[in-house]
Amino acid sequence: MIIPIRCFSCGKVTGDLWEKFVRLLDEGYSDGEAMDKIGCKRYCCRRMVMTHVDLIEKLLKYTPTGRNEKKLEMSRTAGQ
Amino acid sequence: MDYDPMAMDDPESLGPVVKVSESGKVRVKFELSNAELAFANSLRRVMLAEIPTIAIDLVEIEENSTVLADEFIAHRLGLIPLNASGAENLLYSRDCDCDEYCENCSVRLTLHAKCTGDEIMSVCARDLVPSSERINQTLGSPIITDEAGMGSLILKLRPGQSIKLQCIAKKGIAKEHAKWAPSAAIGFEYDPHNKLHHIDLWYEQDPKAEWPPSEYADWEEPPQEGEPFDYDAVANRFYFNVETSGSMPPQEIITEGIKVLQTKLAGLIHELSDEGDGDYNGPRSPEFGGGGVDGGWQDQGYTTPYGNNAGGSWSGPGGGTTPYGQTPYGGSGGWQ
Repeated sequence: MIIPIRCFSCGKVTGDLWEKFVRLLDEGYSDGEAMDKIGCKRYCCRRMVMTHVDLIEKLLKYTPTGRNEKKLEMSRTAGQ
Repeated sequence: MDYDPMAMDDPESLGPVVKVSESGKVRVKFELSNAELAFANSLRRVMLAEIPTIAIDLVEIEENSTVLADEFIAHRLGLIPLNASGAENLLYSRDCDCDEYCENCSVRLTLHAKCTGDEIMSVCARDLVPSSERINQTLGSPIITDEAGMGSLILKLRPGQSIKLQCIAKKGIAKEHAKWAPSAAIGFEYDPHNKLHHIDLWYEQDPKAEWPPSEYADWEEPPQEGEPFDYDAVANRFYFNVETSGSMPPQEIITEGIKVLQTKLAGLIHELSDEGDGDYNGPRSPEFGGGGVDGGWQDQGYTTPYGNNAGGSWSGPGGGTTPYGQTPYGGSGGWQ
């Protein structure tokens, strides 16, 4: 969802590593090399970034009123 | 100059010896030798769980129109490491005279962000602003270690969304909540060749071939072929690897850990020695002094199972009494 602030197991801060990790992957590094570069030595911290699925920007598309707007739109199209 | 050359030759007389092999901004590696396993382990445990630091403990949310729930954000805020230098001068909130919190026992941080542009906005640890009313000007500042200088990502905002909150950072220890841990992981290793057989290595065919040698395998003599098992051998050299979470330098974690351990031991020795009598004002079991039936809090017509016999002490439990005084079962004047 959103990158956890700390590693669940050991408490190392991971909240500032995600963007750099993605940038390194874009530059062509493999997962393992990128994790070494951002300083994730233990497998507990490595899984934090490697298995993370960054859904926060998708989540940002949702709004409290979005459902109502969608319903209104659907009823409009159904009435036509 | 006269000194006894024998005293210097005897390694036992030197006490514990520390050899530092790496010392940087995030980690310190050192070897502790001439110490007992119990001592080395207590140092490890104290460094992990009992060094006081500060972390966000209360969050007052004024406005939150983000997609994340209040408690989710509060939890993330709590985990952000804050600078703990000078935390020894901060009071624990529970020991402070104030009602809830004040500048002597807390640091206030505010977070106020609104996304006014057209792009998605990231709110990071850098955006947490500590108030100037704190005991020193570094205590409680968010720790930022990444190259971009942003710190940990707290949340993201869509155009139009905003967040406004106040955080109260308090002093605490990692025994209460892991957010107060000054260390990330602490590596602790001894006996790299498993000569003491403290570990039963899992293997398929051959443990020697399947287990990689330890980083410290070269530091100690490998066992000779056919060497008999030494039943009297004890662990003597311990390899530590202390990594900081950011709130204090790793070197400081070690010195603070030793300090906490010393303080705890001093308290224990003080209590065990005769000098401990009289000036201890914390909570205590009733059998220590004030537990007799004449005790002020007990003469209200009922008695508790504790400290029920007059002068109840460890030395003289008579009849059906336990060291904690008369038991409520079958005793006279108990709960009936």
